[in-house]
Amino acid sequence: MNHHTKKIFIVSLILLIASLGLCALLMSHIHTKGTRLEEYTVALARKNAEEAAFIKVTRLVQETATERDSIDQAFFTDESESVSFLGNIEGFADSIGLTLSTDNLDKVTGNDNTSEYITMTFIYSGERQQVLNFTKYLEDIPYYSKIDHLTYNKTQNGLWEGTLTLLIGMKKSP
Amino acid sequence: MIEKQLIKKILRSTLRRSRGFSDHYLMHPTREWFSGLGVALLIVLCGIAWCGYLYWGYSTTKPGAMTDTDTPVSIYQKSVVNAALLELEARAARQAITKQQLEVSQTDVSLPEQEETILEDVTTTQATSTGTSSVPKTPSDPLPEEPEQIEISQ
Repeated sequence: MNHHTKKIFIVSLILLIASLGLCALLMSHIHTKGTRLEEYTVALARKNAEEAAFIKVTRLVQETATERDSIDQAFFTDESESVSFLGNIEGFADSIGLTLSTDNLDKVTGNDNTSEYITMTFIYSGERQQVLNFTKYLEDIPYYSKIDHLTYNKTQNGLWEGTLTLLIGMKKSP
Repeated sequence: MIEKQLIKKILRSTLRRSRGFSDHYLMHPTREWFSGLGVALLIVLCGIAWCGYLYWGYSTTKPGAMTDTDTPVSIYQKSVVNAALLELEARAARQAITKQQLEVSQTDVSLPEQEETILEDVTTTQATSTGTSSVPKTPSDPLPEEPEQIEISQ
């Protein structure tokens, strides 16, 4: 093996190694680009899905505005709303000749620890039928409410006294 | 006539060839060139196959067809909302009726006093009849079967 042969052999070897390296580099580059393309594809799919969901939710929100407003009105927005509610109840009781007093007004948390209620206890007295009807009146208030406790007592003067504890749901603050 | 010298020459030539052809060159440019070209062609073909595989893989991928479990799901239970609205409407209607009953009973309670005032100058029989018919029973007249105390609690 003369000097010229060795020289050609070494150059060929270098060229081969360089070619293989370049090929590996290009393959790695293609693989990286492919992985990125896959990520882009997934991101694009997620974006499309989110856009579709957003459009769907927006349409749903627009279509159900009336229903949600109606449901919304069945809840107390804040504690101050209960004051005006009490004023209305007391005014009505007074107008129909019932003696009414509010014994308790408080904010409580439901058993599930997520819902909040305004609890209020009414003590009202009058004729038996009036007391019964007034109880029904309180039972049917168009709110998200429930009667927690109810007691009827016949007093000494022949009148009937009702004690009713009412729970009215409060709207969750966002 | 074959001479002795000629025979020797032929024999020398034959014996020399019998040792075979000796190659004094290690590199064969033509052979190496074609070998290199073959290897390069093989690498290129492998690359083409791999690139074709990648192209086929990515060209058949559709973003819309990919499953995405993180897609937010909107929950709106229309039946529950409608049931709640119906219940609220029913409550409001029942409350309106009860309110009317309470107001009427209050009117009935207050009406005899006014009538008594008006009918003071009218004949006694009319005033009596009006009073007894419209005035409800007093609370002191409880029904015999009604209990003294009722308690309901959740």
